[in-house]
Amino acid sequence: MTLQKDVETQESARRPRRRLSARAAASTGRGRVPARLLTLAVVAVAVLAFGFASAPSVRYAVILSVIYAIAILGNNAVLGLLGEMNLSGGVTMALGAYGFCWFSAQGMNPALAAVTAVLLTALVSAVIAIPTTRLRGIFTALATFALAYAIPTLAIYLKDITGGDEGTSAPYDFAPFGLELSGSTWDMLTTVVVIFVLLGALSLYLFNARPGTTALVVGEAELAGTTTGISHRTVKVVVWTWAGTLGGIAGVLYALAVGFIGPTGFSFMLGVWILVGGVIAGPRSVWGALLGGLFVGLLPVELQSVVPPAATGIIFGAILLIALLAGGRGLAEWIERAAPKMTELIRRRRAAS
Amino acid sequence: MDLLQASIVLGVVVGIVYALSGAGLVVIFRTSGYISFAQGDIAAVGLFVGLAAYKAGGGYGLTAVTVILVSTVLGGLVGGLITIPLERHGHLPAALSTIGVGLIIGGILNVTVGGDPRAFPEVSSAAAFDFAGVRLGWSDIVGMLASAAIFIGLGFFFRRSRIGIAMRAVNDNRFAGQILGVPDKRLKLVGWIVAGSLSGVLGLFVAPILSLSPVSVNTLLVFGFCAIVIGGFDSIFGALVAGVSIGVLSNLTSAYVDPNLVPTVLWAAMLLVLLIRPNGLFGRRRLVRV
Amino acid sequence: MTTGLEVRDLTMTFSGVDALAQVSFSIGEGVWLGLIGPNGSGKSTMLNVLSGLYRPRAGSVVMNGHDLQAVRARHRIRQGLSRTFQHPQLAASLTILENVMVGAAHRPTAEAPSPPASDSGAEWLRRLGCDEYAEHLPSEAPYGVQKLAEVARALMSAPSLLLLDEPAAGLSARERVDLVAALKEIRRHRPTLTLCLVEHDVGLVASLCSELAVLSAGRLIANGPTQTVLADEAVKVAYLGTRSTHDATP
Ligand SMILES: Nc1ncnc2c1ncn2[C@@H]1O[C@H](COP(=O)(O)OP(=O)(O)OP(=O)(O)O)[C@@H](O)[C@H]1O
Ligand SMILES: [Mg+2]
Repeated sequence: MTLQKDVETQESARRPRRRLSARAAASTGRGRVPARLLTLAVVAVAVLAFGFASAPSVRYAVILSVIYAIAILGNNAVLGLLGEMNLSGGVTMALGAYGFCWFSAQGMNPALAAVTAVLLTALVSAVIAIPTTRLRGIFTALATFALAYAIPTLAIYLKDITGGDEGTSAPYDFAPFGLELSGSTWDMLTTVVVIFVLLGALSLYLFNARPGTTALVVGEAELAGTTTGISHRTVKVVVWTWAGTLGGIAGVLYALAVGFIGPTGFSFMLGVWILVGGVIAGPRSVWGALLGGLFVGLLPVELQSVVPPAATGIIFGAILLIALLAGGRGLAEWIERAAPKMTELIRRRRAAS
Repeated sequence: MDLLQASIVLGVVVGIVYALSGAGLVVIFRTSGYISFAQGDIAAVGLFVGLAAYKAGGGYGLTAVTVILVSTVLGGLVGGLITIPLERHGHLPAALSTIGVGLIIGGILNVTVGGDPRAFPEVSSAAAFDFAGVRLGWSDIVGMLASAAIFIGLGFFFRRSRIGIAMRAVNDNRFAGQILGVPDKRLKLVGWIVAGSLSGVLGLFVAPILSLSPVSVNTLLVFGFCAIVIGGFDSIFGALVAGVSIGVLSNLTSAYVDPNLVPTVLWAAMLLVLLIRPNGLFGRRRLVRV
Repeated sequence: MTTGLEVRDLTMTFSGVDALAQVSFSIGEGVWLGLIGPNGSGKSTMLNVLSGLYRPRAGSVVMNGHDLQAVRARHRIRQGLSRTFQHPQLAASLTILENVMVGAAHRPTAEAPSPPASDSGAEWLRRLGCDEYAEHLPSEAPYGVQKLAEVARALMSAPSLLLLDEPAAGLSARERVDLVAALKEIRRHRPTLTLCLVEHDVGLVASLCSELAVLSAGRLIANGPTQTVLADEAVKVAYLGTRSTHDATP
């Protein structure tokens, strides 16, 4: 036993440890990419299974949840890496959704319309981010709040494009690869989950590679970034554009799932939910984004049988406060920390008995 | 011509109310260094309690006092029990907690009084006099005078009083309070209490115009946000100038273009100011200390 | 073309108060200069102006013949300028080694040497005696290690002008020895490196620097060879008279 330990210390002295300590990995959300990918896959499969087994109305809520989760995943980059508050998650969803509907209404092939809408959203996000990120840290919330607040009335004003109060419809015969993409179909569920997993894996990779490191330097030690040659403006705009792009993708999928979109679907509260969902589940966790989406999309539906719909705000507010009191790193991280301890405990019990 | 005059005069009148909304946010910003999203909900609670007092036969005076008292106490409770303690995790969680508080208060109001808009009494519905061809009501005049008095009072408070000066310094320097012999937490609490009563006053001016619902005062938050970004975060005077400009700008947009475009124009104005003067019109240029 | 650093009539004002008042001095290429002065005398402000984080109200900074006025802070690293901060500026979610590697992202374009193995982040950490913390987060490492990580990061860009802001403050006696040894080794490897060292520990400064500049209340009160400046009466009164208070800080 002692001998083995000696060999181990010698080994580690020669070759410095390359991996983050368990504590560091849990508290920063970095490292352990394979384990995190596995968790993401397991949670995604669980969500799929739950959706397939549920009644269409619940499946529909699950689909919307996963769509919100995509927007949350993007927003989490702004919150978790830069420490900035973005309330315009709903705005980018609106852009993606309206853009998709309008481009297809102009006779564009729906697939092309979807891509164009996402690119447009990314472009607009980048342009808006330039002045917005001049506000420091959490004060980006003010500009994005004002924008989120303006969207419903702006949609009414631009009625030639958006259909005004009445709204506008998504292309209903869109069936790429024979997939029936609308409402609560199984195809729709599978599609949104697969897209989430792909984007989640990409986030995980980027977060742990150079782009993530650079964004973290800007978010946590901006001055050191400046003196080592990093342009914090550029980095911030890129991160915000990433968030906008994911919002745009979520918007296109939202339009497909809902079939018909109008200004009431994009109230400023949507942006609040996207932000809050990320905070509750943990802004650095990819599978946490899925959890956050379920909080926002499924929990109100499930709660309806217990409390009146008007009271869901109370529950959300309370959960948010509890998450913040617990340190603000979110439920996902809390579970990640608790899970190994629990298995350890169970293992010891077994060994003892 | 009449339309232009009316837009401008009424824009100034309502702009001063917007400025008040900004001033409450500035007070919290100066002491704590972040922004509260709960001020509209805090005011809404005060207003509903006030409305109950009014319906029970209390006069306008009693109603107004009730509204301000309740918002003041609630502001202090939210700040003292929830948000200021959360500052130990950083400014971001503290600011996010005000969203949580807003959601809870909004939910409680939805359940207890419901979301339907109600009429709220005003000081007086009588017309006072014509100014530049625009008829001003007594409530407008009272609102302007009260706001002006509040602005002058806040100016004196921050410049002359011991606590006010310490409050200005506390966010920059942790030891400001200690030097003056007042604990930091208490200074921040004073900020929340003052901001609470300001939002109560604001509610009194807004509720008769927009009618009272759990979300109606929140509408003003957005104007307050624009006012402080445009005016510069730490400047009460900046909030005043920006508030009035926003009032006129939104009235002109509403009269000559489309009321639906007002929030978008405000947002665009805000971004424009950020591009030209990143610290707002009257904000200090901040240098990060290293 | 003069090499090294030349500072002329530099003035920096904070809300009406001069933190630097018409300060002029120069550092020849390869010279190590100690910048000393009592608390609040403007030393950090000087480094902030030199590194471009603060824009001076008046005066000029010329490095290797280039006027730096038009060069943004983030581009100065490409001119070969590198610095540390008095209070460590490390990303909390990156390990010490990752933080050090951030400094390697932008090596100066002029030389652009492919990094020799001995210049790797891990190697610097080893020389500074804190490689055991390479994989730790800054919050898990002692304050002294965080300060040394700052130094290592600054060295990663192979600078020609290095600005160190109180690198030894908060270091243990052993860590100070490591720091001095590592700095001396750097001088052996890179004789052309110019250094501006801000430090309260006069003994440490004197053992490394051949020249001194003394600031007091934003003014330059002495500048020249170390021994001459240390013997100067004005310096003794303004700075060394209060020396005991500085030595009290661990
Ligand atoms: N960002 C700032 N805003 C306002 N005043 C500042 C700022 N930075 C520095 N000062 C002031 O400028 C003066 C010089 O400060 P500086 O930090 O340069 O001193 P220093 O010599 O580095 O002191 P120390 O030995 O304590 O580090 C001080 O009076 C300080 O209060
Ligand atoms: Mg200093």
